[in-house]
Amino acid sequence: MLIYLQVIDDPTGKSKFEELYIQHKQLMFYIANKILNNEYDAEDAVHQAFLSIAKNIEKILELEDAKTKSYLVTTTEHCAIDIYRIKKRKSTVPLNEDILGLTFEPPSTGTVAEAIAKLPARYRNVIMLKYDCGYTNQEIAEILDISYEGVHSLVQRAKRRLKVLLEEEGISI
Amino acid sequence: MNLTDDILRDASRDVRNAMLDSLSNVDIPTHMFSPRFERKMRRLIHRQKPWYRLLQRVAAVFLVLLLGSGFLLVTNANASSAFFKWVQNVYKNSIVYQFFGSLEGEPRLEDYRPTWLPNGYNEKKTITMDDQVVIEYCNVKGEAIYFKSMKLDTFAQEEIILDGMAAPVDIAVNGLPGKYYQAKDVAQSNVILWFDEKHGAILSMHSYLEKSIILRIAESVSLDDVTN
Repeated sequence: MLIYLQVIDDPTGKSKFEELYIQHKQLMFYIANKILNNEYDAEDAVHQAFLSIAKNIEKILELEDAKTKSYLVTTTEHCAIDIYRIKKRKSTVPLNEDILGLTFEPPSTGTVAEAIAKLPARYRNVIMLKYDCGYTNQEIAEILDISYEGVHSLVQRAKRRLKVLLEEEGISI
Repeated sequence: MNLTDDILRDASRDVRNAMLDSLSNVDIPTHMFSPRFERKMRRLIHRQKPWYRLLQRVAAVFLVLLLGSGFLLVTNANASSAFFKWVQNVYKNSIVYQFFGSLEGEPRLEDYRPTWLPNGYNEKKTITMDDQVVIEYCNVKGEAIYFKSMKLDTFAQEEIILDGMAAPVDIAVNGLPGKYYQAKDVAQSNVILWFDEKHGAILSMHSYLEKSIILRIAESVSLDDVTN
């Protein structure tokens, strides 16, 4: 037996989520397509990203905030890389994770910021979510849909990799 | 070398600004999203509307109150177990099937697969997510069949958009209860939805093929040994 609940569909009142979607879907698709180079897969990545965003919508306070945009970019990048990895598992060509992710003009040279920008995307993303967006490890686990222990491990590995990069560049803090 | 939290915070902010500056200098082309994507996003947006989320909570409280009051005393055990677990919410343009309750099993979703397909169809793509697996089958003409298995969880739900669809018809797939939606619009696909409560999964199939063929494919989905 099923219960039927009749509700009048209210066409007014866009939710915060819908506003985010309208304002940022093109940017997110652009990022995903840059990584995947496949429009079908890029759409899947964008949808995945929005699924993740929907679960964590209460963490987003401002729609046009730079941190919000950074969060959307990071989440999209992460989802695109996930799909990239699934596809590459079927390939015999080894996966070079260092070349994955969004490329952009790094901040001023000879700095910790430049080194962070050079990190592989999965390390950079967790550093950004933790130190720029200010999320806890538990919140990052929910955003990236990985375990708490996985986040902790990624943060530690990211920091170690960062130190190696800084030493190679001769950058002292 | 000590990478303090303050150093990492300042540096991350600089990286964020550099990344967003870089993106703001790009002329981002306007992409025409596919109907498939637009449908998926419409469903997702629908579920995020504040009144919908409120309704979910109201429905949950309503169900808890009914259970607590002992209001439901039915003699048919099968009907009562179905009542306690599934609520069908009918809206203006869609029907949402929502699950409340506990799982009896933890299905390995990737094990749900059709074992029969019409001639010419082959698996094209599989998307595996934490709580669902979607498999796309295609023929040489590009005609697709989508098969989805989703884990039943508290508040798990499946939405059917009613635009261009006839009223649902009760069906059984290998003895399991389900619904069949016939498309009235040639641009829409037909849909079969069925519930495997024993293994904890909701299964669906979308295709332009006729009902008897989709049903045959659905009935070929093997349900043996799908529990962890």
